[in-house]
Amino acid sequence: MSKRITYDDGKGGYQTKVLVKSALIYLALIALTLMCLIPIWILVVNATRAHTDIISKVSLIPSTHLFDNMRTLKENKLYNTFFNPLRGMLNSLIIAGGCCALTVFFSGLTAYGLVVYDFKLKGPAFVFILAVMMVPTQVTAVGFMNLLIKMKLLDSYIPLIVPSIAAPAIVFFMRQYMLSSFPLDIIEAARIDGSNEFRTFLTISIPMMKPAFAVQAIFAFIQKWNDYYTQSIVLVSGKKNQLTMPMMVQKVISIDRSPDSGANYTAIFLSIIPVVVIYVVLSKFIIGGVAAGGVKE
Amino acid sequence: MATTAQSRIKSVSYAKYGYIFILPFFIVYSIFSLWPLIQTFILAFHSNGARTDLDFVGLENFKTILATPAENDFKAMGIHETFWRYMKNTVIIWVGNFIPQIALSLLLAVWFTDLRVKMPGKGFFKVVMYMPNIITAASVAGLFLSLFGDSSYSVINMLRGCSDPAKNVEPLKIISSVWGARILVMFIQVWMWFGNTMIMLMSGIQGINESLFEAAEIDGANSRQTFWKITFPLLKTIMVYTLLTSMIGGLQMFDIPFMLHTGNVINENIATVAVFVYQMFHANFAKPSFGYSAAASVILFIITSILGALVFWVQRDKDAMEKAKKRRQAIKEAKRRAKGGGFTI
Amino acid sequence: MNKLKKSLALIATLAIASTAFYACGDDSSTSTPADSSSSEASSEESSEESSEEASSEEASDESSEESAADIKFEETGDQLSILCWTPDDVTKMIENFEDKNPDYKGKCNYVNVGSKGQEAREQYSNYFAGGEDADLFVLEADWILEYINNDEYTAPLSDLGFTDADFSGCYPYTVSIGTDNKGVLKAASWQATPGAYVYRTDLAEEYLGAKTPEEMQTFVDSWDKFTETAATVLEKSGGKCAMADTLGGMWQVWQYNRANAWAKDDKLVIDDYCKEYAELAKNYWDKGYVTKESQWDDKGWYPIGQDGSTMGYFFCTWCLGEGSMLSNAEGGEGGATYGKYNITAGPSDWAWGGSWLAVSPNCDNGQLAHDFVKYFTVDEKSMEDYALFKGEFVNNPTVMKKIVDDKSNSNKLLGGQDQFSVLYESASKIDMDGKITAYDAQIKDAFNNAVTKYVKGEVASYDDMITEFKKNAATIEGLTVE
Repeated sequence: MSKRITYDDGKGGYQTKVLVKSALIYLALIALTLMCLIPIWILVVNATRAHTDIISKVSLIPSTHLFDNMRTLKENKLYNTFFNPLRGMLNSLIIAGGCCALTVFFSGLTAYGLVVYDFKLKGPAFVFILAVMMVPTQVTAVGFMNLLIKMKLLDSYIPLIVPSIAAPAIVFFMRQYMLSSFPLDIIEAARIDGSNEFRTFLTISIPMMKPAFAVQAIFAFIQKWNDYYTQSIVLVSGKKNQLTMPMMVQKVISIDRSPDSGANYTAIFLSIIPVVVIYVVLSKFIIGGVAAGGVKE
Repeated sequence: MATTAQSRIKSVSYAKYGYIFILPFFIVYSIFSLWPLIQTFILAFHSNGARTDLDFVGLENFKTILATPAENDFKAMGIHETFWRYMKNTVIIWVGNFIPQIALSLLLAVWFTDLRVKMPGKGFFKVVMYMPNIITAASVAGLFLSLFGDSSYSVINMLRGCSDPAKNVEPLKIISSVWGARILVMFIQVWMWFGNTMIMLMSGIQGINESLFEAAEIDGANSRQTFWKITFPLLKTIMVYTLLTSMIGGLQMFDIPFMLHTGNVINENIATVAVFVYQMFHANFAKPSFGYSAAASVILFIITSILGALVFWVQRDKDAMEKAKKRRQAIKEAKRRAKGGGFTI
Repeated sequence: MNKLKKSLALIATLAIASTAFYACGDDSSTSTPADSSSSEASSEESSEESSEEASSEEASDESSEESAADIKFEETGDQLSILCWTPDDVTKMIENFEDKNPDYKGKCNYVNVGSKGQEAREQYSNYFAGGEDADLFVLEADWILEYINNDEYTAPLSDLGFTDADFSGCYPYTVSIGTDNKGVLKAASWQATPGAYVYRTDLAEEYLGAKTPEEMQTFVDSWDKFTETAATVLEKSGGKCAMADTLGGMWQVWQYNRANAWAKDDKLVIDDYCKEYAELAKNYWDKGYVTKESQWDDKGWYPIGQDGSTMGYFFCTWCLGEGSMLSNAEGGEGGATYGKYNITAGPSDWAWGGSWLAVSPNCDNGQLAHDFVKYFTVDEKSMEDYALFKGEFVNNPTVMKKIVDDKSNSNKLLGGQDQFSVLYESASKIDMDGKITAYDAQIKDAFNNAVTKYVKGEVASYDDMITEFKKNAATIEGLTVE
């Protein structure tokens, strides 16, 4: 009953309470924001500082050595024999972009097949996709490695890109999306107009599925961009012109003769720029996408 | 006219298109995922120490990994203990990151969806909190190594004055201490994933009928009551789902535990089962231990399958129906209470 | 297409050139067209080669096959690719080599594989499988046997036209390490790697009153003395200055002095030496005689060389050149301790690592590869040149003796001191015969891992440490542990 009394105190008390609460929540949110940003901020700051400053003092104020550090990365043989940010970004872009395109297209196609048509194996096919959705990459890694050796596909981008044609989780997501928001009548109408099945998919279905495609595309892109594990299994010999951004960063942090922390920070900094930019530009989509997907990778 | 066209269309069988459309998926999946999976199972029953010409050894690899080894069999002891140590790490790190993560995410999700708290800048906070999730794990590992490294010259130790020998401050050895490293990995995992979990939970909360919250508010329920009486019970399903997917994700944890060390030797206090799988087939190029690696993968697969089955059990239709029923009941209840005008406890 | 054209052109040039030489007579047969203008081969060398060639020539009637009989690789590549995990050595070598052989300018190429030796060890085989150009590659003592015992990865040096006699001038231990289990010479080293103790002159004078390396040596000439001195230094510095840089550094000194190999007949050998080292390490760690930084951790290992946390480092030959570890420890040119170090022999003779050049069976620049290997491992004149150029302790006692006697070397990092005069003595004592095994890299990791745990108190006793070590080592495929 005491609760009742507080409520009856009147609008003023309630308002103050809400205000105090909001303020406290705000404080907590700011603290969390700082927790998220400070490590990244230190990275950015240290990327602009010289080695000697970095190892003598912690600072939160950017300095002026960013270009010196970049020059070190470019000119020092310790780095430039494998660290080439433009090349790394291009390679990552090829892999992530290729995966992204294949994933959304073929997942859309598969989901379309499962939703639009009736066929005998439809049920079993869907159950199969559900069942394999949860198989961890690591479980198949040994067999995958073995397969690559046999097929002579090590050090090739094929096993990095082509497998993304089959992405069970994304098929599942697209299927759910189609079931809930795709009007099947439209297909019927297209058939009457004489459109063939594949064209119907391309010209009618894809435009209608745009939101789902966009969200999954962004996710697939970021996930593949960051997928160090598979890349390290496939690109075993680490050839310079094949290295991806995460692999270059991994190499930078494991050089054991590097005297220059500034250059190391700058390398990490350069590696996160593309994803952060993509993220900030498309953040609305992404946040919406996580909410819609509800599936953690 | 239309009816004849329609009937003509109906008489055409489109079943073959169904097969054609799903064919690419199944072909590629079979080659790059299913075949490797089968290969992994086959390798799990074969010997170690070579790339080709492996002997069939039955359950030997599983025995070595799982069973208590003989007194002086150092090899079995080594493999057995490494596997279990890594398994223990996996569980500890997962539990240690999941509990704070879900608590924090839930709290935030509730705040962000609380109708009463008017919050400008909500979007900004969400964007920032999700940000750590998009950064490459290699970069995150490198960053945290330089922040919390063992050296006197890592950020944390410099703040404590270790970089000045005159002060003679012993550096904190977080990475090489057992719990220091584990807690750091837990922290990194929370740091990377709480934004993601928060947004998922938010979508769950937003899925709850808004009139429920409105009714509760009219009733004068305070935030705590709203949370425990409405949000939490209705969120149970999605919470269980989050729990299980996170468990499966936790079993796969690889990047951070693998990269968070200096020097050649992987940090055995934070190495996970996924690291074991990788180490076994990578340690020696000419003589990889495919057998142990594959056997560990199969064990991982079995655990995952059980957890996966649980996910589907929780997500099954019956449950959804029950949920809908509960929701309807809750609304009715709330309306009844709203009419009654009292919120008695 | 392009490659084909180039190789066709090359073959044509070769054919024309060789007919020209045929016309000139036999004496020019040692020089192939590529290096004819810049050959620096010693006369001793060339006579040996030409006699060999002369004998093989009898078998073949076409003179254009001369070099082919000598060097068993095709000349189809346009770049000599040299694989290594660090550019430190190879880029300097290329610079020096191309400088002295202008014809080869721009033809030698450093290729990075892995970012440390351990990674290169894993990645070389994969790199070869990928079919990328690979002519020469660098191997480390700890895992050289894995490669040279495998004909799939390494070709005998005789395929490059070398005989065992060519390497008679090298330190014998480098030759025995480069020889495979069938007795075939597969790899040659350009360096010998004796180590010493490199210390801060200012601190030595302040804490110990030692003014010269000779005086300093009296404080560190045995491990007992070293320990004693460590106690003095620690006390005088108020607890801030450790005598040894890292456990890793001490380990390098100790591991060399093992009487036995790590494995005998594929069985792990644990001897008293393990105990001695573990106890010493623990003592040093507990008392603060060694810093708690890790070797190779760039965030800690180098700064201690400038801020007075350590009296000095255990460094070997390849740590002392420009841009190397010592330079980093001094903070580079203009650094806090630049040039303030001196070198002295230290408590015992030891050697650290070392790198070997091996030739890939897929080598496609036989002549260039031959010339490169010869320049750094056989030819005394060019080796002397390189020793002074890089500050390298080259793999030839005669050359090193000459440099020491000529006093032609002075190291800026050591305040002008000649490190070779100190290292020359211990270099001749290096004897690794039968002491290296194919398991060394992994066994050492396992051992050091166990010692670290012991030192930090994570395992209670020495016996527990050994059990821990055995369990770790037992997971190495092919090694038996009892």
